[in-house]
This record gives sequence, structure tokens and C-alpha cells, in this order.
Amino acid sequence: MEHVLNALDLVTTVSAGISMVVGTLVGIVIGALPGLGSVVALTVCLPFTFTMEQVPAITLLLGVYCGSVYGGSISAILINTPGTPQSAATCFDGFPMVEQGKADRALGWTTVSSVIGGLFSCMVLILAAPQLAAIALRFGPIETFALITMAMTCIAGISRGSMIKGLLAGVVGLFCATVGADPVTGDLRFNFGYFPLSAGLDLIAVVVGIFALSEVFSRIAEYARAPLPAVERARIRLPSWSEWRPRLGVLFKSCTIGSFVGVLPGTGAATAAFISYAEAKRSSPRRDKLGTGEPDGIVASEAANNAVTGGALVPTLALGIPGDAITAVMMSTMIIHGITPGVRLMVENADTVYACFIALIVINIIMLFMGIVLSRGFTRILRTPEPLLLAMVVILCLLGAYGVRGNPFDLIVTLLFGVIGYLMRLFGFPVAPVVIGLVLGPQFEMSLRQGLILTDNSFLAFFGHPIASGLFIVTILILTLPLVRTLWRRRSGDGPCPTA
Amino acid sequence: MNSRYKSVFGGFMCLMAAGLLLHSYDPHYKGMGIGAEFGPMFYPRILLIMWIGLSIGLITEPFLGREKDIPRQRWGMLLGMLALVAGCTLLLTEIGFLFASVLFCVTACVFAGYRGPVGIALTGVAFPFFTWYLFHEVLLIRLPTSPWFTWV
Repeated sequence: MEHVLNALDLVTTVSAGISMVVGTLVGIVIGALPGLGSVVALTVCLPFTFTMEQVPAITLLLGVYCGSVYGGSISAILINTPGTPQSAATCFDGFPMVEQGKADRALGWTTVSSVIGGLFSCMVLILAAPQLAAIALRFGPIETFALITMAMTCIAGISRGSMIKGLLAGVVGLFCATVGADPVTGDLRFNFGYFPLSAGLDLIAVVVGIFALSEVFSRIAEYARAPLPAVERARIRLPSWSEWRPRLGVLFKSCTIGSFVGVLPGTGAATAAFISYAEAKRSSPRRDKLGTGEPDGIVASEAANNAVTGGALVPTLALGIPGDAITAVMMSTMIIHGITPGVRLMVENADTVYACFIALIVINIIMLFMGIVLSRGFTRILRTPEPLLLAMVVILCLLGAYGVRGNPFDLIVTLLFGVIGYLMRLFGFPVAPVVIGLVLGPQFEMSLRQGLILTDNSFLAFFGHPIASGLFIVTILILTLPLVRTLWRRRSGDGPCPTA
Repeated sequence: MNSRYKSVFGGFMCLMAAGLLLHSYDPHYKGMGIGAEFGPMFYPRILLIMWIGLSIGLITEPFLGREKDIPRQRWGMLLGMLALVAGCTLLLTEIGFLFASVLFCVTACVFAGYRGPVGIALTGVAFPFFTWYLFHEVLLIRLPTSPWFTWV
């Protein structure tokens, strides 16, 4: 209770309030712009957090996160082009409603579903995170090593691209974390006699380069896409209770799917939205109308993708392990503000973690009001030409990289990782494992070295620890499951299973 | 683009890891970590060996027919934008944030095919000024200044 009261104190400051409002607004705006997405939204907002206090900085990014997931649905509905991948499933029924002249109602369904999904996931986060954190307290170095191994494998295995590419990206991220001083002896590694490398690669410079700058390069290099359709200026009309009542089942199911998928490392809101949409198509009483402008489709997609927001924060806040690119960026902000990721995050920073819980609830309520009041304004944003956006993103990227340490070397790192990120996207590599590896690298190395000292240099002794053994078994299952699935399909005569 | 280029990329990754692994045996690392249970190169070498193994997997993947072709790219546009960003990165510390960002925004908008004067003025002039003011005056984050006018 004491933590909750302290957290309330932290969240009810003027700066935290402004951060939540501004963050949500910026998130909706950037989320609504087709193609930029939640990670770019968070990355371009990073430099604004550098001089902020801990809680306002985190609440700003939480606002951007939640806002961007909701914002993506606006363009999905109005111009049939999802602002973020999470909202792709919203197009199926959102745009047909616009064609039927029901844009206001479609925006109403998406706003309320998003808010309910977000609030539901807050409850899941509040209930699940402390329980998980309590279990994590029993974790020593060996368990921590096993946990990070499992999380990295899971993220690399499930995320976009083949498993080999995902694992390689994760290993490259872990290796990048070794550049600079050794955490135990302090000796300099891989600096090649170049002094600026002695402090290691700055996390923010890498994050900004690999996510945002590479996105700019990818979009510039893409062949011109078809011009976006004209945007209808729409107001919002919230659904009545009589319209809601028959859809409560779909809503609850979608919220549950979203929260559950969110907790799993490496999955994300897009997966949740599609699973939820498929479930609605299978079980909704109005399933025959899905795809023709049926609100069930919007409810299923939007409630699920917003329910991911809280779910994704469960492993991040309870275990200090970011499950995807978005939470990795948030974790890097926490590191800048002196919070160390890891299994003791919730014990050592309980007030901040509880402040995040409260902020998430408040942000979802702010989102509802913004959706109602500003929907007409958001539709205008969709007309912003892409070249202007890309130029602004580049400037914010460079500011983000420079602002942390004021070191020009970080600008070069950003540019370099921008090119690396572009090449990774081109060759079908997921970029998130690189950053997650970089975030978790120092802790991973420390836990391995401490664990080996505890077991007299015997790695096999790691399997003598029950929790660690369980986690290693899950890791082995994650690694072998795709192989087993491929063999099974070949045996069934379906031919080789293409990796996603 | 042919998917065989992915094997070339895998080969490049493999060579890079091999080079780094070789570097980890550099004599100047030998004297490090004396007294510690594990030297500073213990953990990076594990990662580099994994990196090489996975790169070999990457080289073989396209031959197993699992790969899609790489989408066509506008290389000229990409290299042009890369040059502009690199130029802005260099100029940022030489002529200051404000001048470098105005120069970049205007040229990047024109380069990317946008010709509207109002949009260019807003992005190329108003946006850098607003950003500079926000960082310099509100957030109190020092940005690189120009050699001509020390206050911007």
C-alpha cells in the first residue's frame, strides 16, 4: 500500500500529467501516420526525456506507446492503410464501414474498444506483475542466465524472419554489449585502440539508428507506392449500450487474447489482433458479416492490440526483461534514468513500477477523451506528405543520439546502425533482438560468469537448479519445435514448411 | 534481387565474426583479467563462435529454398539520402544544429520529391527553429552551436 501511495504522489505531479497528455497526443499523431509505427514514435520522443525526471519520462513514453497503438487504427479505418502493423486487421471492417458512410461509428467503436482493451490489460499487469516479481526474487545468477537465454531464444524465434536470422541478430546484440570495459575486471575490449569506443556503444544511439533511421532509409529506397486515398473528415459517434451488449463476449475474449499474447516475448500487438480477429470470425454470432463492415471485427482487432500494451509490460516490469522492440526502447529510457533492468527491478524500484501501473490507467482514460474531442483534427494529419515526415524524423534521430552524452561519436554510431538496420530489414532480419541483446547483454554476461564461479566452472551444474532446468527445457523446446513441425509436415506430405 | 545475395551477406557476417574472434586472441588481451576466474575474452568468444555457426546456417539457408527474393530498391535514392544524413551528421558539429538542420530539411524534402514551398518552409525552417528552441530553452539540452553565432 505504501508503494501505491508513493506512486500516486509521483504520478500526480504537474510534469507527469503534462507528459501523459503530450505523450498520448504525440503517440496518436505518429501512430496515425501510415508506416511510422510505435517504435519510431517512441524513438523520436526519446530525446525529450533526457532532462526529465524518472516518472515523467516513463509516463511520456507510455503515453506515446498506448497512443500510437490506438492512432494506427485511425488511418486503418479512414484510408484503409494501417498506421501501424497492429491495426492491419482493423482495415477489414473499419474501411467498409467508411464506404457505407459510417466513419463516425467506426471511429467510435475503435476508440471505446481500444480504451477497454487498454484498461483490461492494466488490470492484468497489476495482478500478474507483482506475482511474477515475487517468484523472480528467488532467482540467483544461474536462474537469471537461464531466464535471459529463454527470453532471447523466444524473441529471436518468434519474431519476423527465420529463426537463424533472429538468433544471429540476438547474438550480434549481445556481442555489441561487450564493446568497452569488462564488467568484472574493467579491461577494455574491442575498442581497437580507438578512445571513444572505450565507453562502449551508447544504447540510445544504437536504438535510434537501428529502428528510426533505418526506417527512413527503407522508405526512401522503396519503390513508390500507390497514392493514399482521399481522407474523409470524420467526427466520432460512440456506440450505445444496446449495441455493446451483444458484443461483450467478443470484447472480453479479445481482451484476454491480447493480454495473453502481450505477455509472451517476441509476439506483439499485430499477432494478437489477427488471432483475435480469427477467433471472432470463428465464434462470433455475426461471423458471416465480418469483413463487410461489422463492428465485431473492429472490436476484436482493437481490443486485442491495445490489450497487448499492459501484457507486454508484465515481463518488462516484473523481470526487467523486455519482450519486444517497444519495451526494449522503454527499458533503455529507464537505464538512462538510473533504473537497472533485471529480476530485482520491481523490488528496487517499486514506486516507479507502481507509478507506471497508475499512469497506464490514466493514459487510457486520456485516450478516450482525445479520441472524442480531437478525431476531426487527427484526420487532417493523414494528409502530411511523406518527405516532410522523413526529414523531421532524421533530425529527431540525430538529436536523440547526440543528446544523451553530447558526444559526436554517437552520431556516427547512429548512422552506422541506421545502415546496418536497413540491411537487416532488406535481408529479412528482425532488428528487435539486436537491441534486446544490447540491453540484456551486461546482465547476461555477469550472470553467466557468477554462475560459473558458483558451480566451480561447471556449466552442467546449471541444470541442477530446478527453475533454471525448467527454463532451459523451454528454451530447447523453442529451438526444436520449428524443426519438429517441419519434419511433421513433410511426413504428412505437405512439403517443407516455409518459415514466416 | 536474387536471394543468393543473402548467402553473400551470410559470408560477410561469418568473415566479420572470424576476424573478431581472431582479434580476441590479440597479445594485448593476454595480460588482462589476471586473478579473475574468467578473462575478459571468455564470454565474447562464446558469442563469436555462436555468431560463426549461425552465419554458416545463414549461408546455407537460400540453398534450401526457404528464401523469398529481396524486393527491388531505389539505390540512387538510398545513397542520396545516406549522403545527406552523413553530411548533416558531419555539419552538425561544424556549423551548429540550427544551420545544419535547416540545410538538411530543405535539401532532403526537395531530394525526396516534395516541391511545395509552404511545406518546405514549415519543415525546413519552422521545424528546426521550434526544435532548437524547445531543446535549448525549455529542455535545457545543449545542442552544437555555430562558429559564427555562438547563441545558435
